[in-house]
Formats: sequence, structure tokens, C-alpha cells
Amino acid sequence: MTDPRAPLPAGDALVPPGAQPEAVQERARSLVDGEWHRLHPATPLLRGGLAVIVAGAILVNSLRDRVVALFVPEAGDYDGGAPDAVGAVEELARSGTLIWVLLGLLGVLALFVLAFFLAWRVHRFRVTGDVVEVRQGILFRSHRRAPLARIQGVNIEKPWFARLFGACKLSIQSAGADANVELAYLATPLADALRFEILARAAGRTTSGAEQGASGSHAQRVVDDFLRPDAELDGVAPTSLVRLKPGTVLLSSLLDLGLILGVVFSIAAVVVVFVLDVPWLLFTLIPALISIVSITVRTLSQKLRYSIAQTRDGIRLAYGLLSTTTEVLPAGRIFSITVSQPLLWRPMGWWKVAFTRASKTTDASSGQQRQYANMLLPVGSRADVDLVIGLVLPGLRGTALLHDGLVGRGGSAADGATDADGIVDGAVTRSGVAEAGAVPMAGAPMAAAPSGTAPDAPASASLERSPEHGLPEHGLPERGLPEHGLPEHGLPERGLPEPSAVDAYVTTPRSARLLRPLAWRRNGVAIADDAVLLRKGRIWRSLGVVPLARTQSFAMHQGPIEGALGVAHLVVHVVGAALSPTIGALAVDDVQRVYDRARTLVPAAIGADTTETWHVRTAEGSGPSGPDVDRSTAEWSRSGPFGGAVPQDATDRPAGASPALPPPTGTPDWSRPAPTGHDSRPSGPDVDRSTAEWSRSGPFDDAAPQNATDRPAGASPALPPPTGTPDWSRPAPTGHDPRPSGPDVDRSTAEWSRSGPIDDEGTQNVTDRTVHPDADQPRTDQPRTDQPRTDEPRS
Amino acid sequence: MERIDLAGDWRRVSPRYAWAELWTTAIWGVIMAAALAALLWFVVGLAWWLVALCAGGLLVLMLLSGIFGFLRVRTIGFAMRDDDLLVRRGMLYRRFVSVPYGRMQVVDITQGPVERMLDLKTLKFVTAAATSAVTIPGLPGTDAEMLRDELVAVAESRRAGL
Repeated sequence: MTDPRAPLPAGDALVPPGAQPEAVQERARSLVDGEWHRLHPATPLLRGGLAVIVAGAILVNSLRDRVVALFVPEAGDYDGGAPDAVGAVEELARSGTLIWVLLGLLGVLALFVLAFFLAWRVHRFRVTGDVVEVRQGILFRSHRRAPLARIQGVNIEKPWFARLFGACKLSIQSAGADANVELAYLATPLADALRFEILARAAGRTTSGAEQGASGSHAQRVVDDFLRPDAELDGVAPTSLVRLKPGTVLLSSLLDLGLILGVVFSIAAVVVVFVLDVPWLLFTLIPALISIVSITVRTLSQKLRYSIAQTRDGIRLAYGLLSTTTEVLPAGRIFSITVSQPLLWRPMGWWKVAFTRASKTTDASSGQQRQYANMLLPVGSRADVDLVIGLVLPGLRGTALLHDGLVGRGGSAADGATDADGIVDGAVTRSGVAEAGAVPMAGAPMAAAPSGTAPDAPASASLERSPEHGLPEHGLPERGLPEHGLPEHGLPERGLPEPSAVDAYVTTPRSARLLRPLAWRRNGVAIADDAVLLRKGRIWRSLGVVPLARTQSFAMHQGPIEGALGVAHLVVHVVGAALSPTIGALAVDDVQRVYDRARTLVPAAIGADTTETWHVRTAEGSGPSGPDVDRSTAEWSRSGPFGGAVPQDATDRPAGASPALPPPTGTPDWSRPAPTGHDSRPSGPDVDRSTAEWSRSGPFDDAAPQNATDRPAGASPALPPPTGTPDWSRPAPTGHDPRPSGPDVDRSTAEWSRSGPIDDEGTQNVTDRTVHPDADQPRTDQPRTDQPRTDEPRS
Repeated sequence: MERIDLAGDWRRVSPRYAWAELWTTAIWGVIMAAALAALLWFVVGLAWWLVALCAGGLLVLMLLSGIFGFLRVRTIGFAMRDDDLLVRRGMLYRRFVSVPYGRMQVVDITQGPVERMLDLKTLKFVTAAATSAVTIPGLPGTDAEMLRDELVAVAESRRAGL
């Protein structure tokens, strides 16, 4: 990185701890050797630290009146008769029971210490080849196991009191609500090193324990240097790409509409109070003022220390002043991005960039860190936005598409046209541009998008090149980036392309401008190589960006009013967003064209997505053998029983499975648990891996072509067996009818969805499931837990 | 009036599904009308003919919406393309959803009591996004299982992460 303006470490969250001694790295490597390890010895203290502080605060609070009365006896209205802590102690001392009380307290304290010590003893973690596991609890035990391939991010949190001890929390995030694995607390240098080990494994760069032992430290270091030259290993912190000047941060925080309204209301209230001469009403304002100040200070302190950087393992975010958080988001863990510009920031040209992720953290005890957890960039110029988006979607960086998405007014091509038909035509040609608009720009080096580019050139060039728009060549995200993912040129503000003459977005037709009275020219959508861009708002400008490879599904909707106006809206369904990115008021033709295009591009992008390590591993031919026994469900379900071990199975099954096909000759003997299909199931450890998905969708009932879902009563023995069905306690019904056994079976929907599939596997797998209640869930929001999660104290 | 539409090899769901909807709304209509009548009679204390009018009106409204189901059910369809499953539904409010097969997390088959009477099933294709909501109701006989197995098989070959 030779750019003079980019490098600066934005706080010691980024600065590596000292000159990272070799010993630390060695120790970190020893932590991932697959053995069980304990946490930082100060953990109980740190976890209890908050409670100690709270207790202290209560004590101080109860003493306050007494102390005040001591020093200013005449001022205080201290009521000597009221019981307080000191008074109670005096009373106890007088009556001679003080010693017993103290002994009792000591005993309780000792018990606590012992409990904490034991809890620390049993709280252990281990990192094997493919999973990280945490065991904890004495009375209520829990064992959480998370596949590394499913990591959504690794955070290091340093609450201020933990920083005093040089400790921090390592939190490994998976998709889903509260699916994190927390290692609290670890020594900070160790945690940093451990994070890199974990991420390396998650990324498929597995360095097995044997290799480490054998190859010796030097060779290993060279390899590590090669693989992770950015890391703290060398004592070089990845530098922040975006520099937030304190002035900018301060001003942007002050230019918050909510804050300004709050202050204005407060002042108005004060004025009213004095005009009405009711000064006691001022007290009612105090809570509001406190909250305003605290929120402002908090956001400020986090913005001041904000930094973002590209590392080999993903995007690295750091924020926080006293309590810091450093996150690493591996490639493909950002599901959607929203760039927006609050109204008051507009004169300054500032933007903020938010993103959604699959993991949801409900940790409330130190809620402070959550504030920015979804901000890629709290405030920044257009060039900063360009940089940051380039980290997530390199193909979008510096393109006119992105630029137009931010500041484009749109409609330039349609300016002259007046009638609705003309607009639609205009939109048609423009959509052709939209489909290809990013090609030449994305393909060019970033510096090739200066203002000098003839505005018409990209559009025309793209029209010519649009046919070769098959697979997104630039759609392979971060992994292909050079180190730090940046070209040598920081784009200065003036270097950004001017709004192109031809707007590449498909926008609202004039006939429907009533639906977007102000923003109709701007309101639009464009599909780039690897992302779909939704541009909205003229006053509050925003641009939604969804990587195509992260799209779950997409829809087009049209209500009656929209139908009357000849418009419709598009919805992109993404993980982790409560509100799906939506763009409305687009002409029907355009919507259908964009929709069709998305339907070809999205599956292609998904197929070309390399952010899952599985592709890497199969490409390397490691297959689901050997160390992969540990492998996660998700991978299993992908590569596992069908893809890897018995590849032909996947195709064989459906045929055998189709209940429409005549059942095999004779009736299967249900007491014999091995029809052919069951045999083809991977044996051994994989039996445990029957996933919820399997159990629901029931591929295993392939084994017996009678669709077992139709068997009504297997899982609900409480219900009387329907007439004509054999005795279900005996697992050998003969002549089982493949069709639903009739309307007389009274089962609720819930039962169908839940229990129906479970008895798919009838005779054997019901017991399988009871024995392994911890079977992996395919929905990745459930990491593997061997026992139900307990409400362990989490600090 | 320009409506969104997609040409394609649409497979329709069973027309019997309209009966399922009608029955369901009828049952709920009776329950709700009874509840309303009880409320008006015992709590509010209206005259009997007013109570009857209100409850009857509610019942008629719900039955009407159920009858519209016969039109609605004709708009429900799905198509299995090379790479994605396409589902359409809705008459006034049209909705087309396309799900790439690789996005499948779970396939559910459900059957309520009314659907069981009519030998229909509902298939639900669940993705990691909460908002996808891809359901195909009114699949007769073993169609739901066939479709599910088809979907699972196709999804197997196109596995993707989140």
C-alpha cells in the first residue's frame, strides 16, 4: 500500500500487541491442536467484574447520604434514624454479632470463589480440524459445537475492564439467532493469534496438527507469511482504508436530525418552563438530556476509533474507544449493503454504509458494542464509499453504476420524452445498458474510471459487449483480491466519474410518477455483474446493494393500483434483513426484464460463488474422508452422503423415491431395517448426521418407496391407529398403502410437519433421533449443541 | 391495466384446493360469527335481529371471500426451470417468486384436516431468508411427495451456502 492517504492505524484495536513474540504464535497454534484448553485464569473475575462494580455502586449509593451529612452536617437533611449500611454495621458491632456476620460473609465469599474456580475448570474449548467446541457448566452443562466452515465472522471484544487485565472475548459467529461461540476470556495476544488460526481453518487452509509439529517453526512461519502476510504475525497491522477525521466524525454526529430535534425540543421546553415559571418541571428534562448526551458520546467514541481494512481472511472492522471490538467478516458473509445519506449530511457529501449479516447477537450485558455492528462505514465521502463497497464487491468499485446509484439524478435519457410510450421505449434501451453497464468499467482498472472518460463510451461499449454476459467474471468476491484488495491509487474525490449522460438504471416511467412524486427519475434498479443495485430517494438518497451470490430468492409483486398504473415492484430476499430490499414503481416490461435477467444471473452467481470452502476442498480432492469425518452438517448435506461418498446416489434416489412409481414387487418387510436405500446411506458416523432437513424432507424414505410420510401414526402413538392400519407398535406392517390412509386420520398440521417425516424412517431412525438429539441442523442458524443450551452466566 | 406475467411451463394446482379454502373459511366464518353473536347478545345486549344481522353479514362476507378462492386457485402455479423454482399466485395481488434450487434449506409438507378430507397437501420451500415464503398448496395425492423428492434431488446437485 503505497497510497499516502490510506495507511493509518485507527487505534490500538488494530495495533498488534507488541512485537508479537514468536512464543505467542506458538502457543496459539497449540490452542488449535484439537485438545481441550481452558480460558484465561482471570475469567471468573472478569465475568463477575460487572457484578462487583454494581455491588460497589449500590454500597456507595447507600453511603452517600451519610458521607454528605458527615462533611456538611447542616446542609444535609440526613435522617439519622433511617437504617443504612454504616448504621447497621455500628449496630452489629455494638451487639457483638459483627464477628459472626463477617465470618458468614467470608464463608459466602469463599463459596463463590470456589464456584467460580470450578466453573473455570470445566469451561473448556477445543478447535479441531473443522469444528470449534465449547464445554461449560457444572450443574447445567452445555456443549456447543460449531462447524468452522459455517463461520460468519470472528469478533474480538475488549470490554474496558477486561482490557485492564489484557484479556478479551473471542466470539465466533454463526448464522442464526444467538448462535455464537464465545470464548471469554482469553489473553489478548493469544486471542489475536487464535483468531487467525481459526480463520485459516475456516477458509480451508487447514494446517493440520501433524504438519505443524513436523515442519518445524521456521518453515511453518514462511508458509504462514505467505498465506497471511497481513496478519499481526509480523507485527504489522492491516491499515485502515478509510480515515475518519475527528472533525468529520464530530460534525457528522452533531448533524443528526434526531439529535438536533432533541436539543431544539429541550431548549423549547426550558423556555416554556421559565415563561410559565414552573422551574421544578426542569427535573423532568434530565432523563432526556442524559440519554441524548450518552447516545451522542457513545456513537462518537465508536466513530472516532472506527477502522476498516481488508485482510486475507476477510474484511476487518474495528470500533470502540474504551471497549473495543474487532471483527473479521470472511468473504461472502455480507448479505446486503445499504448506502444512505442523511439529509443534513448532504452539503458535506457524506454517506454511511450499513450491512446485514446472518448472525444475530442478542448479548445485552455489554450492548455498547452492538451499536455499530452493522456499519461498514459510519461516515465517509463518496470515495470512501467506493473503497468500502469495493471490499465487498470488487467488480463494482469505481463503476459509473455505483456512482450513478449514489448521486445520479437519473432520467437523463428520458428528459426529452413526454409521452408514456416514449418513456417505456427509453426504458427499454436503457435497461439494455443497465444489464451491461458495469462490464467495461468493472473490467478496467480502477484508475480507468476518471472524469476524463467520455460519458457515452461506457454505454455504447457495453451495448456491444452485452451478449458476452454469461457468468459474472468479476463476481468472485474478495478472495481473488490482491493483498488489501486495493489498487495503488486512492481515488481522490475529484477523480470519481461524473454522472454519466446515460443513466444505467431502469427507472420509474413518467406515467407512474405520482407514485414517486419527487424521486421518480432517480428511483430505479440495475443489475451489475455480481450485484443488484436498488436506487431510491431524492431527498433521503439511498442505494441498496445485494450481491447476486447472496440472494436467497427474489419476487415481483403487483397490486391492483400498480396494475392500473402499469407498474410493479421487485423484492430481493436476503438473509438477515428484516425488511427485504424492495424497489417499486417500475414499468411492467422493465420489471419482467430485470426479473428474467436475475433468474439467469443469480443461479450462475451462486454456482460461481467460491466463498464456501467446500468448493476449495473438493477441488483439492480431499473428499469427505479422513479429517472430514469431523465435518459439519452443512457440508455433509452438501458434499456428504450424496455428493462425496456415493455421488450417483443423488440421481438415483429421486427415481426410486417417486411414489408414483410402482412399489417394488412384494411388500417391504418393515421389520428388516435394511432396504437398499438405507444401505446406501453413509454408514458409521454419518448415521448421526441425519439432519433436520432430512428428517423433514425425508430423503431416506426413498428406501421404501411407499412414502413414509403418509404413514399417519408413527410418531403419535397417543392417537388411536386409524382403521385398517396395522399395529404400529409392531414395526412390520405388511401391505402398507403408499397413499394417504384416508381422511379418518385426525392429525393436525403441526403434527404432519413435525412428526410426519420423523417416522419416515420408521423402524430404525426414530431411535436414531432419540439417541442423537443433537443431530446437526441443516439450517445453519443452529450450531451443534450436544445439550440444550443452558442459561449460563455470560458476561 | 397492465399486469405482470411470465410465460412458462406452468403447472397448476388442483382445483379442489378452492374447496379446501371454502371449507376453511366457512368453518372459521361460523366460529367467528358465533363469537360475534355471543358478544353482541350477552355483552352489548343488542336486539336479536341486530345480532343475527351482524353475524349473518360476517358469515356472508367470509363465504364470499371463500368463493373467490375458485378464481384465486386458478392463479396458483409453479414451474421448475433448470436453475430455479418459480411460484406464482394471486389474482389482484400478483406475486412471482423465483428460488434457485441451491437455496433450499428445508422442504415441508403439511396437511390440515380439511385438506386431508380432500386429499390435498401443501408444500413449503424454506430458504434462509425469512421473507421468501414459497408455498405451493393444493397438491393432490402423492404429488407433494413427488415434487419434494424432485426438489431435494435437484437441490442436492446445486448445493450452496447461505
